[in-house]
Amino acid sequence: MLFNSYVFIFLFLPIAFLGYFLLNRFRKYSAAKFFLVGMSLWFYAYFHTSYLWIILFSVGMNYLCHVLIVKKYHPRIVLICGLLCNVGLLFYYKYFRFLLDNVSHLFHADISLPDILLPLGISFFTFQQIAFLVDSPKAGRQSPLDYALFVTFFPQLIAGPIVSHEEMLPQFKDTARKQIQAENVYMGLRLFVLGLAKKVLLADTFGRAVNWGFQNYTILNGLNTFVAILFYTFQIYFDFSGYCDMARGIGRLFNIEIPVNFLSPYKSKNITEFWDRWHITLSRFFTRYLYIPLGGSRKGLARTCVNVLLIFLISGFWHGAGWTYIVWGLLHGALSVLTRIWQRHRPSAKSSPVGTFFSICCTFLFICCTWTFFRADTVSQAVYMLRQLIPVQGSGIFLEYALFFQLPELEYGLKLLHIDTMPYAPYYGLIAFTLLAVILIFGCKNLYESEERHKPTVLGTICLSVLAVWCVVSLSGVSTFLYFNF
Amino acid sequence: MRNINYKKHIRIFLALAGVFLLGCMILVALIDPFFQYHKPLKGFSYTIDNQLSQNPGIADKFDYDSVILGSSMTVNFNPELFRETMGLTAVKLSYNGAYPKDIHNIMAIVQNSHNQVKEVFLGIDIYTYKAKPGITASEIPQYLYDGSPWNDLPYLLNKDVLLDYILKNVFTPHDSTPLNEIYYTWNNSIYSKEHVLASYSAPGQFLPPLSEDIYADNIEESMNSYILPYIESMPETQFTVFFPPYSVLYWYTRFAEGSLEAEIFGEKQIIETLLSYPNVSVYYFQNIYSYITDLDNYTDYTHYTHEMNDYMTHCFVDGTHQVTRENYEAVLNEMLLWMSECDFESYLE
Repeated sequence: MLFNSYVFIFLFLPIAFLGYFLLNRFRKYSAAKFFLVGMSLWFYAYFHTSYLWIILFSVGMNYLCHVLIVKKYHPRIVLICGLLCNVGLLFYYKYFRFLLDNVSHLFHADISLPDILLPLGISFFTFQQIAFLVDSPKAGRQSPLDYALFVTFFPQLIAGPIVSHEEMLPQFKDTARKQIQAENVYMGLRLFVLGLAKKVLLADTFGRAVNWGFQNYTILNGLNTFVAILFYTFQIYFDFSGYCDMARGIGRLFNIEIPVNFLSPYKSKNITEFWDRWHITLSRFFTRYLYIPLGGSRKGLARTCVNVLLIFLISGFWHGAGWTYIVWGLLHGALSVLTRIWQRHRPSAKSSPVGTFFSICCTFLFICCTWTFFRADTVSQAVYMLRQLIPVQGSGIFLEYALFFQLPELEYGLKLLHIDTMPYAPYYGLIAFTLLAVILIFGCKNLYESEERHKPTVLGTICLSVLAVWCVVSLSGVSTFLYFNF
Repeated sequence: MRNINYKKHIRIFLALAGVFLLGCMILVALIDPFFQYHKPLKGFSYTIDNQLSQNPGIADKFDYDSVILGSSMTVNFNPELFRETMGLTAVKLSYNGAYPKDIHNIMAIVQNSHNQVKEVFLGIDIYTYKAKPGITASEIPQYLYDGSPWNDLPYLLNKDVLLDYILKNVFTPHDSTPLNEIYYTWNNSIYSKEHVLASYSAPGQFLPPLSEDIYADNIEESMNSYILPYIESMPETQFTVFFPPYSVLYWYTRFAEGSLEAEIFGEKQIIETLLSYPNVSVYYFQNIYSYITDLDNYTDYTHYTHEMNDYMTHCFVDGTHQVTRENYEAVLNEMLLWMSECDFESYLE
């Protein structure tokens, strides 16, 4: 089930919310948790019922390991077995086909590739459980219900954040959080609606133009290739930012604080800062459970650089089973290494505004270029597109891009203002969306920074309500044919 | 510090959102531009331009006694001519690029509608019948096809429906799209040899002929699953099936691919199957050589002018180009012979 779906908004969320607090109102705390686990499994299985067995096996197996570790029954061996099982499960579902495909190519062997359905969110709940196993001695024995809720809690289940036990388990146990709190409900709704708007109104609109650009990359000149890459940079930003906001908003409805995972990453002055702001909980996982155990930065510069590169290689591979992701991870790793070397030789001095602006621009451009690998189907496609960029040339932006931004509501606005027949009118939507994206990304505080001081007003609430309706009616379009040949 | 009444704000939010959403749903259900709940309202000017979304409602709610089904080869039929020549009240339920599954999807609604269907006119494009069975030309909005009102939210709460099919027609009123003009999409195209050749990619390589029965299994499954069940379960309905006349360049492409013989063999297989039913008549227009070699009749290598649709309509009345159990093999063998002797290159000059 997706957050941005009718079934989630009108059926699942109201049932989950009312059922959970109703049971808690009658002090049926365990039943309420059980109910929430059941709802989360429904949420998960809605994508595909066979997913259910995978997550149930994973949760059961990890809980067994957790109990054995806490009971000190060969904890080291159990931990290693648990880790191997988790990695094995992830490997089979996510990477086995990729491995066979590459072996097949390498040895020119005709290996038939198995049809393995990738369970959604497996990368997230696997990492979350690995972290929990490692921390089990510290966490102490947890009840199976608390553990199941910790892993399956639906707002964070399919796309993170990768939460830690110390963040979540105390909240699930806190009886003060078991009754409806109006402030949290309002703030949760606000976060959810704003996140939904980022996803539905911004990311999906940019996404349609991006799809066209990446599908037709061979006919694009430098300027239009840049537009495709820039729009993808916006799309993935609003997509992930919107998802994180929605997840935090839903958590807040249930009086659960889900950790911040996204903090205006494109405002970063260097790549290290970017990874402190983008997918924060993933960076935290790699730092705690991989980078530090490997020696971190304690074993000299060379070893540090190797560790950093290794982390980014794994991070790339974690994001997807493909060479494009590996290249993407390595590029980020390489720049991180260079940044560390630079920072070691040039200890941070107070940067001038011009210097800061320059740093942000350079970091943003690097991120744009590397997203090309993330989005492209093949490494050669990404390389082709990046080569097209130099020099950026072209007499104008293709009208095809503009068509994706000609939303009916914008057309009404243009007609109302009598500017629909002005020169370049077809491009007004594209320009408006691009400006809005730039302002939101670089010129506004993010929701986490602004929520503490946010005081609702009647006008603000009315606007929020209109925005919610706008998002809901934008969830579904009218299907048309993109077909003209037969 | 002022105490904030969050409950009040939640109430405002929920009440406003509820009113707006409910208002949208009521408006869409009342006007019903996709005819899911009722026939067109008398005073509202409807735009009918979306085959995927509006065909199921038309099939279910409109009054008719015959239907025209098929791909874009059928969109330029004029139902008014069906009334004049055959006295039939026909509706067009075309799908661009229709696959057999598309025909099945809409026939299921036609069969279950309140209408007594006297005649079904079905255009068959062998290209789609040889494909893997089960695919559709485009992803269909299932909630408009299943007859259930419980999954209609994507229709009732839909910005495009509200703005493009309701408010636009309120603010810029026009006459409703006449039924004989719906999906007249190819009528505005340019028909000329020059235009055809501009969009035609001449074959770069020539492959050896495929086995003539290579598509037999797919065709058999498509027919058995998606077409024959309706012919068998509607014995009172006459099925007029026809093979539309693509230009000679279509066959040149098939020749280069090595699939020409296999396609004709596939057509033979379909005709043989169809002619075993007493309620089916078959028309074959692909061998009108003077027409298919005159590229001025086409806008691309398959799409002909609406005059051909009119001509086919007249043929359905007088039986011209009808094939029978006795002559269908000879007709198709002769077609194959003509193709084998055809100098395709000469039509590119």
